[in-house]
Amino acid sequence: MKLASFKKHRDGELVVVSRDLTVCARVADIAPTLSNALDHWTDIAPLLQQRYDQLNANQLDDALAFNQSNCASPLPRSSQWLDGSAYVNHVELVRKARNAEMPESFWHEPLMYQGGSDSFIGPQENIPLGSEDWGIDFEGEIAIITDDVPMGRLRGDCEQHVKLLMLVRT
Amino acid sequence: MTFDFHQLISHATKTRPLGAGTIIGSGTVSNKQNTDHGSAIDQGGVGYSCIAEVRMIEQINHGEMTTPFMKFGDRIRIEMLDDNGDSIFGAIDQTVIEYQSPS
Repeated sequence: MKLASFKKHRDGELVVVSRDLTVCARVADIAPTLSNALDHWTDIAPLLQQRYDQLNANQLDDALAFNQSNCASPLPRSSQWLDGSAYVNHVELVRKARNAEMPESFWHEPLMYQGGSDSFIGPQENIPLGSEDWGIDFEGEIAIITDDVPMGRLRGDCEQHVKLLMLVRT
Repeated sequence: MTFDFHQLISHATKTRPLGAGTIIGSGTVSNKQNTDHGSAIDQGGVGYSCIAEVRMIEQINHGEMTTPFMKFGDRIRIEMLDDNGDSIFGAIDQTVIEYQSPS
């Protein structure tokens, strides 16, 4: 299913969006925000899926036209933002450009940093910055959103924790 | 990807549990290309997903970085299309502007 958050308060208003992105439906009776839905995902996800299926089947009288410019970031404020460096080719190039050797361990142990997640810029909002002299760059990424994950999870036990997928511009 | 998302979750949980709503990013998408001859789209490559990477390849191949970083008014558009050319997630479409402090 496809979800979006409309701009509203800090955490947005959760909506389901049709597969072709043309219409959407409110889900306030199921979960007010994506954050709330993720807190109760086992119970909430089937209800959202049902609304999504009805939307795609044109069974909802109150469906709205979907306008991407109304959207906040899908999860406008999140528990934490962990950015991996899973495309090691990029890291290798950075090192090579400054004549530094990349440690062999980088191929086996992922790099990851924990970044700010208190408020994300919406997908079609401007990016205000203080100076062009800072070297303004961007990165295009894929990201996942998890449910609660216990400490010490092995790789083979992690698939169940991938709940949603999205694009990210960092 | 050298590491899949399952590995990234596993790596993060070595040191902590993750709360519901944790976002994990892949890092900037980067393709192993033939960097000897440049790999920009107009040179037959698949392009890059950040400016720093273009500049690194310029540094490696020519000894200097010539592609500039972004200016105010420049636009970033990121979208993933399915096999039919339809947008999967919708588009990230953002313009870099100069910050105006509230007066």
